[in-house]
Order: sequence, then structure tokens, then C-alpha cells
Amino acid sequence: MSSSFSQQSGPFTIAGLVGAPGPVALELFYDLIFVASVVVLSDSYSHHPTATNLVWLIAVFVVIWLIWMQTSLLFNLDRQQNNMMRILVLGQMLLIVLLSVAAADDLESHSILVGPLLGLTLLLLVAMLAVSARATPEMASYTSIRIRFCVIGAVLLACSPLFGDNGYLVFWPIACVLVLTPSLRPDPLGGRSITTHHLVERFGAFTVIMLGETFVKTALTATESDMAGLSVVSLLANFVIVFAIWWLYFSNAPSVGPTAGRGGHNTWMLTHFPLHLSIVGVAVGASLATNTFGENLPASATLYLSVPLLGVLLGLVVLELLSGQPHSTRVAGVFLLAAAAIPIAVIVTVKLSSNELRSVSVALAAVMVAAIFGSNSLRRRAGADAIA
Amino acid sequence: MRSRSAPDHAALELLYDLFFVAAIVVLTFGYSHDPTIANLAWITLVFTLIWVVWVATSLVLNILGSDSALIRALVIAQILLLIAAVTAADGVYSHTLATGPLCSATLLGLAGIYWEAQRIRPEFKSFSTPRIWACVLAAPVFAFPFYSDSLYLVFWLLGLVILISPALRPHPFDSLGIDTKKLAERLGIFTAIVLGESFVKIALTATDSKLDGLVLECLLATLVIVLSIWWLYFTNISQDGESTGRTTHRFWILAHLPLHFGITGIAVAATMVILPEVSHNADGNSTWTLVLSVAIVLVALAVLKLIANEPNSRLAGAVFLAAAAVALGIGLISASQDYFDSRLAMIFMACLMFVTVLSDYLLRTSPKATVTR
Repeated sequence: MSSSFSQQSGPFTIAGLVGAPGPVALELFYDLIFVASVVVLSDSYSHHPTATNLVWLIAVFVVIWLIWMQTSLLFNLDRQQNNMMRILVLGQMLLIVLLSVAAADDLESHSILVGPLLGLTLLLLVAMLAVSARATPEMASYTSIRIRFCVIGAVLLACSPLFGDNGYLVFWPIACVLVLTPSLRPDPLGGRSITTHHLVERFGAFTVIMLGETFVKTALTATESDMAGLSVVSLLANFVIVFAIWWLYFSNAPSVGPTAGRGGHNTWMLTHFPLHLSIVGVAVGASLATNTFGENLPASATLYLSVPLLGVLLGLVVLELLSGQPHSTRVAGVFLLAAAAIPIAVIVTVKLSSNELRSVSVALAAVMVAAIFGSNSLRRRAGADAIA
Repeated sequence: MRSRSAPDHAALELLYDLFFVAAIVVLTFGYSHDPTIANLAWITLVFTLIWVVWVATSLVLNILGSDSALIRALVIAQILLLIAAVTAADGVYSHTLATGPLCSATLLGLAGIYWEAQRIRPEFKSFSTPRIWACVLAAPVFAFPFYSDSLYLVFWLLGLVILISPALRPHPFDSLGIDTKKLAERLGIFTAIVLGESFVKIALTATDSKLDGLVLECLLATLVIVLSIWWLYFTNISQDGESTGRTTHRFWILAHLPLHFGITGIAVAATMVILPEVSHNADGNSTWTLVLSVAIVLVALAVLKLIANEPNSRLAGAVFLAAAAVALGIGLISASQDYFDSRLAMIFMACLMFVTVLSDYLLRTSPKATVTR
């Protein structure tokens, strides 16, 4: 990551010599705050894992993720950040922290505050688009349509509390579709060209930060109990799972990136949504498995870990296929095999073990390690063939 | 397009940084809930140990420029041991039992990294051999789990001195081919992550209460303080990293220790102020934790600025030092006046940091500074 940071706008971009922090420092900080808000959100779900809370968590995550993606895309297309842009980004961060704290409250009260806060965050994105269009006139064709759609989306988000606790279920999906609509046009970037390595780097950084925060979540949950009361086996198994996701993703995705063209870029970016959501799910499952209170959970609790991991592997399958390398189909086949092994491992473990969640985490760790070995051997063989 | 079978070392470095900072955040939760002197001493020692291990590993990776399978495995093992160590840090009276041996194993892993590095690059031997010995000698000091409640403080301090002692020997960094820009970048990323994780800590504490039950102005004030530190650090850090020269190198790296410690302290203080019922401590305790942390950060920023030796360094350094003095003054006023509680102190600190950012910005954009640049 850091090595390619330095390839963009000068030899070293963490520092800024223009009286304000450089774009990389801003982007890294921005990513950290967004991921932090997701951790805070998921913490609420970990303590109250109900279906209602799950829907709520996913809904907030979708909107936050879309705002993050649109902002990242803007930074990609327009690398000239002025002070107004920086202030707007910092404002977005403040709102995100506030709304994650508000969203972690109970469902009855959070919808009153979260909708308007999300609307406000989206309006700040609108302001960023306007600032960009003003500073760089070539951006106008990209920004004008997005400004219109995002303003309508922001109004819908802000007004959702007026229609009761479940109003968000109707208004938020419409707002999300509106935010996404400009990207589905024949010329989604308004004649601008995307910097692929920067895009790949941003998504890679976001993914690795999510994986790092998974540990924060697991460890923080673990500190709620004494070391003697923890399942150290689960802690180790979960570390292996997180590490395996990191390995599988970074072995390919950041170096290859998406295939060229509108469809490739869009699918590549959107595939990261289920991947990131699944990583959050893995964090929730891992924190449940690590604590002794996991022992009192029903057998269905194994789904907290296995379903998200299935989502991660399927996401990796799509990313692998999008990379379009000669060996991609075979590597994707390995990931699919690993995904198919997950339900089998869960069923067998639940039948045989008395502590389902702990045993499942060990079995899933074994599946992920097998996936690493399988994909690595295929990639090495492909590399050797290419040299030959 | 290129294909590879393993993640590149930059991805490993970022994951490594994230895990180290996360470990620090997890550690501080113990102090936030039980802010005693004994816990502070414990946190300070473990924080310093973790930080020294991180810097040492980063330096090796920097000098090598690439890694081997063994170094990669040792770095991952280090992460794993760290997870276990911070998870084991239950309470100040029981944590040395598990954390000490785990920290010791981490040091042995660091010795392994040095050993592998000198195998790859034999010219690295004069640098790594004393460090291998330091790690091997310090490891048993941390490993012994049966110190009495306060005796471990003396021995762990001794272990730290042993660990750091090779860095005090005269050894020209330049001859090792250290990439100063890369080092500056690593420290910059680490600093950004520390700042980001402080948000995690504050926000997670805030979720213990409903939003309307929180002291919202304190939450906003904390965010202003953290954002100000981010702005000041990344605005003032030199593009080329630190100036060359052994002494300057050492001071430049070491100045980051109080900076990171201070940022963590601010996060701890913020949780105490935003939700005082969680920490069960006196209000004055929160105020002093906050004020001292802000002052430490400002002094560290002043040192970094002075080391950068830019045209406006002295003036900006003086501004930071003056702000640190004002922070301490606010602490003293708070101690003598009953009405001046920790919430008010938090708001004053936010204003102080904002004014510091503004002053620094005006200094940098003044016509004189622009002409000099």
C-alpha cells in the first residue's frame, strides 16, 4: 500500500507542504473513521443480535459505504483538494462519528437522528461535488447529475423518521438507488478517466483497515472477560481466519485490480460491498466465538461466523474472475470449493462437538488455510508457466 | 498486470501497523475503567515496549527494503503474540502472569527477525548483533511472572533499558542505507492510525449511553482536538522525513513516542469526560489526564518541528510550546477553581488546539514564509 502511495503525486505524499495535510493523509484518516463507525455499529449488534438489529445494521452500512465509495471516486477523479474540500471531508467524518453513536442506540430512538444525520452527510458530499466542479470545470459533467440525485437522496434520508420507525425500510433503499443511478449511465464518469491504481489502493486500504478493526472488535469483546474465561482456541482460530482473508485478498486483488471498462470497474467496486459487509459479520461471529458466553448460544449461532465467511469467499471469487488472468478461473474454483466446504464443515462439527461455535471456528480456519495453499500453488504454477 | 502468490510487504506493513495500534487501544481500556497510578505505570511500560518493538521491526523492514518468508512468518507471529498479550492484560495484579511471558516471546521473535536480516544482508551484522543480544537478555526479565505487585515496575524498566541500550551506541544510520522517506511515511501512517483508533475508543465508549445522554459538546470538542493534531502533524512533517544524521534520526523517531502516548492519553481522557460513570474516577483526574496529554502532544510536535529545521521551524515550535504552557495553565486553574470541571477543560482544550492550528496556518501562509519557501 504505502509503496504505491508514493507513485501518485510526487515522491512522498503523506506530508503536505502547502499549509495543509496531503491527500494521502486525508484519505487514510477518512477511511479509518469510516471503518471505526462500522465497528461501533457492529458492537451494538454483537450485544443484541436480533433480526431487526441486523436489518438496521445492514441498512446503515449500505448508506455509509455508498457515501464512502462516492467520495473516494471523487478523490480519484479530482486530485486537487483545496481547503474547502478538506473542511467538508472533516465535517463528513464528524457526522459519521455522531451517526454511528446514534445508530448504536435502540431502534425506537435511533431512526429519529440517524436519517437526518445521513442526509446531512450526503449533502456534504453534494457540496464536495460542487466545490470540485467549481475548481475544475472539466468535472462539471461528472458532478452535475450526481448533485441532483444526491440532493433528492439526502432529502429522502432526512425525511424518513417522519414516517415511523420502519420508514427507513422504504426511503433508504430509494435513496441508495438514486445515489448509484449516475454510475449506471453509458458514460458514468462524464468523460473523465479513472486512475485504476489509486482506486485499487483505496479499496485495498479500506479492506485491510476493516480486517484490522475486526481484531479490535474481537479483542475488546475479549477484554470484557478474564483471560481464563476466554476460548483461546477460538481466539487463535479467528486470527487465522482474518489473516487468511487478508492473504487471499492481497495475493491478487491489489496487484491486478479490475479489468478495464465501465462494467469491470463498477462490478469490481460494488463487489467490495458484500466483501466488506461479510468482514464485519466475521468480526461479530469471531467476538461471539471468543467469549465463553458463546457456549450458551444455540447451535444456530454458528451461522454468525459461517455465513459471513461464505460471503467473503464468494466476493473473492468475483474479484478473482474480474482480474481476468489466465489462471483466474482455476483459483476461483478453489475459492468456490472452500465456500462449498463451509456448510459441510459446520454440519459435521455441530453433529460431533459439544461446543459448536468454538469447534466451527477451528474447522473454518482449517478451510481457509486449505484455500490459501490451494490458490497459492495454482498461482505459483501459473507464474512458472509464464516464465517458461 | 502482474501476478504473485503472496501479498506484498506493503500490505503486511499496513496490517502490522493496524494490529499494533489496535493492541494499544485495547490496552487503554483497562486504564479508562480503573484510572489508578498503578494502572498508569503498567500501561506506560507495556505501551513503551510495544512501541519499541514496532519501531525496531519497522527499521529492519526499512533497511532490508523487502522481506523473506521467515521474516514474514516472524512478523505474523509477533502480531499473534501481541493479540494474546493484550487480551491477557486483565488487571494490574494478575496481568503480569500471562502478559510478561507473551511480551518476552515477542522479543525473542524480534531477535529472530534481526538474525534473519543479518543472514540476508551480512553487512547488517554490526547493527543487528547487539540488538539480538539486547532482546535475548531483556526477554527473561519480562518472562519471569512472579514479581510482587510493584517490583515488576523496576524489573520491566530494567528490561526496557536493556532493550533500548543498543540504540544509544554510536552507529551511523546512513551507512545502512535507511530510506528516510519510507520511514517518515511509516511513522505518518502509524500516527494517522493512532488518531483514527482514538475515534474508535471514544465512539465505543459513547455507545455505552444513548446519544441524548452524552455530553455532546465534549464529544465534539474531542473530535476537534483529534482533527487538530492530525492537521498539525501532517502539515508540519517534512516531505523528506527527518534531517540526516544519527542524533537527529534518533531524536526524530523518539519524539514520536510521546506524541503517540499523548494521543492515546487524549482518547482515554475523552472517554472519562464523556462518560464519567464508566471510569468511576474523580473529575480532577480526567482533567489532568487530558491537560497533560495535550501538553505532551504539543511538546512532541514542537520537537518534531524544530528537528525539521525549516525556515519557520523556530516560530512554529514556539507557538506549539506556548500552547502547551497554556494547556498546563488551564490545568492549574481547573485544580484551583471548583466551577472549572473536566467538561469545561475539554472545551478549552479544543479552542486552544483550534487557535494553534489557525496560528500555524497563518504562519505558513504569511507572505514572508511564502517568499522564503
